[in-house]
Amino acid sequence: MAIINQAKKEIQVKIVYYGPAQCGKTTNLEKVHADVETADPAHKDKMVSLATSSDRTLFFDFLPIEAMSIKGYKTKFQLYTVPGQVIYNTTRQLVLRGVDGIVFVADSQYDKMEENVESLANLEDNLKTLRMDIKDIPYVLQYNKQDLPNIAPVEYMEFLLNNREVQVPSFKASAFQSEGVFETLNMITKMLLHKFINQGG
Amino acid sequence: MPAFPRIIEEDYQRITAALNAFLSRSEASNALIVEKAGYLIVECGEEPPFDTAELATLAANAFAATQFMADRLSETNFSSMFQQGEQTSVLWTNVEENTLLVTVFDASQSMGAVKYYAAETAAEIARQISIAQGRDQTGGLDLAHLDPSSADDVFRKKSAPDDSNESDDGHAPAAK
Repeated sequence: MAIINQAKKEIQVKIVYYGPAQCGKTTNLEKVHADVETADPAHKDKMVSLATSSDRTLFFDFLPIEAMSIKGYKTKFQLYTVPGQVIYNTTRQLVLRGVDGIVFVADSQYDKMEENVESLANLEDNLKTLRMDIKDIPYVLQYNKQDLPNIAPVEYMEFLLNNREVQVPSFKASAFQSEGVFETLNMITKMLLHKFINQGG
Repeated sequence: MPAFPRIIEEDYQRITAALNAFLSRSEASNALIVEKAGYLIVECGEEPPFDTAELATLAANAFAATQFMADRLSETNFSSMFQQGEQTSVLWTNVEENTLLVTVFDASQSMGAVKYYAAETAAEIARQISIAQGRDQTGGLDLAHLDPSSADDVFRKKSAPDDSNESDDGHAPAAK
């Protein structure tokens, strides 16, 4: 859960990018890091990637990013990715600890639909292990890789991934081209602010 | 389990005082209080030649990985962890369920002394966190007048993005 430090006038929030292997989670963070407008580019926060020698996420990617002040409080967002490969499930549980908001990145290619569905089910299972419920956590869906030719229609992806009592916001994206990346991030931010308001902070 | 509490000025001052006393006794260079999800809460010590927020995140996740190992070995938890470097060493000390003390010190120093004082300090900070947890956690930050629609552009994209496209997710470079 978010950390509120009244002494330092700081709110710290954790957002995790989740999804199947090679769906573009790391690319989302790379594009935020590369393209975000900052007041002071000389002191831009660094992105940390703990990756294998073949550039696959081994542990997590981490990008600290500071946003607007809320009532005089600095808001610091910590963006994480999890490793998508199936064998790293324990690591995914570890990174989910204390999560405030989730961006589920789905791969829009037809042949990745099964992996998307499995990964979303895996997210729900891992949250349960951590005694959290996906219904209580703001999350958004991002249908990534829209620039590729063999993609499934959005309606089909909605049916597979967003077919719930309460649907969540979803975005088409091509993270590689930095399209849809900021829309997704701003929406999860907005949902988190709504949650804080409803909880009185 | 109780979540990490809001930190008010009194907590901050007491934790800072405890860390400064610890640094003075142990002669360590830096001490960080880190929430286990990766948040840096309080830092004390010399001007660090490293990014403390980044170190806090790496330290929290490295420690969390050892807790999974503890679980597999049927241990309740591992209370500390140590990495010996050539120039600098790092000691992780469990403070309470949500909190860690991360100590950075010169590799030539005795780990035993640092560990001894770190354990005392961790107990003192755990008491303060317990006091903070006992307070009402709902008041104190009134966001009632915040307009979430203003979050539409919290993060803005630069108008001329850096086009150095390298991707690990199977795309060919975009045509220029």
